[in-house]
Amino acid sequence: MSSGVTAGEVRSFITAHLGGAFRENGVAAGEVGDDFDLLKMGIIDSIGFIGLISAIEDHFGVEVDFEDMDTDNLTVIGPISRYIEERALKKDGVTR
Amino acid sequence: MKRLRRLMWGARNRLLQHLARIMPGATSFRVWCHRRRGMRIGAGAFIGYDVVLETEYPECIWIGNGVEINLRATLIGHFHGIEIKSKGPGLENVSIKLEDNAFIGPGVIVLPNVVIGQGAAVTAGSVVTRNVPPMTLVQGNPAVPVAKLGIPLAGPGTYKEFLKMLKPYRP
Repeated sequence: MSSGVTAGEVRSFITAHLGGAFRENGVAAGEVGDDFDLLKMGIIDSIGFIGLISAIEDHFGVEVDFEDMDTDNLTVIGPISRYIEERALKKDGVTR
Repeated sequence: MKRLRRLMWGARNRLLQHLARIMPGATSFRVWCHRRRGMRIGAGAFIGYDVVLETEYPECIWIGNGVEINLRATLIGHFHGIEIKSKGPGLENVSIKLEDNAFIGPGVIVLPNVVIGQGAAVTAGSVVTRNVPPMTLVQGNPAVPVAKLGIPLAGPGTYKEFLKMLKPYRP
C-alpha cells in the first residue's frame, strides 16, 4: 500500500515545522518559491536542519538519506520536498 | 628564588596566552604561542581570535591534528579540588584531549576531564561537561549529542557536504 506522501504535503509540513523561524525572519511561509534556500535565508542552521530531518522522519515514517541528492539543493525547499516524496515511494516499492 | 622563577614563568605563560588571543595567525602564530607555553598541539590546528586555553597549566591540554577552535572558546583544564583523570599512557596529566579534526564552535566552554572524540563537533555557545564520542555533534548546556556526523566539520569538505551527511542522533 502506498503511503501517499506528496511533495506538497512535505512542503506544507516543512513550512509549518519552521513556522516560528519564518515569522522571526519576516518571511511569509506560504509565499516562498520552490527555490527558497532555508539555509541561505537564515531559516535553519545545522541544528535546525537536523531537527527538520528528524521531524520529517518521525512524521512521514521515512528514513532520510541524502546520499544521492545534489548537495546544492540540500536545503532548498522544493527539491527537499520532492526528494522526500521519492523516498516514500521507494519505501513503498513504487517506481515512476 | 624559586618563587621568583615561578612568577617569571607565570608572567611568560600569560603573555604568550594574551598574544595568542589578540594577534593574527590562527594556524601559525597563535599555535606557536601555545606550543611555547607547553601545550601539545598537532599539525594543521586552527585557533580563533580571543580563544582562552587553560591559563595556569597549559600542559594539561592536548590538541590533535586538524583541530579547529573558534572565536572566544574557553578550555578550562583545571579547577580547584578536581583531580585530573589520565587520558591514557603518556597522557597522565592531560585534562582535556581534543582528538584529530575535532571542531569547537565559537563561545564554547570545555570543562576539565573531557575527551572530545575524533571528528566530533560542538555547536556555538555549548558547555561540554562530559566526553563527546567520535563523529558526534553535541549542543547545549550541558552539551548532549544531537547528530552523528558523516564527515568532520573541521575538514576539507564544504558546510553543505557536512549537512548532507548528518544523521539524527537516536539513543
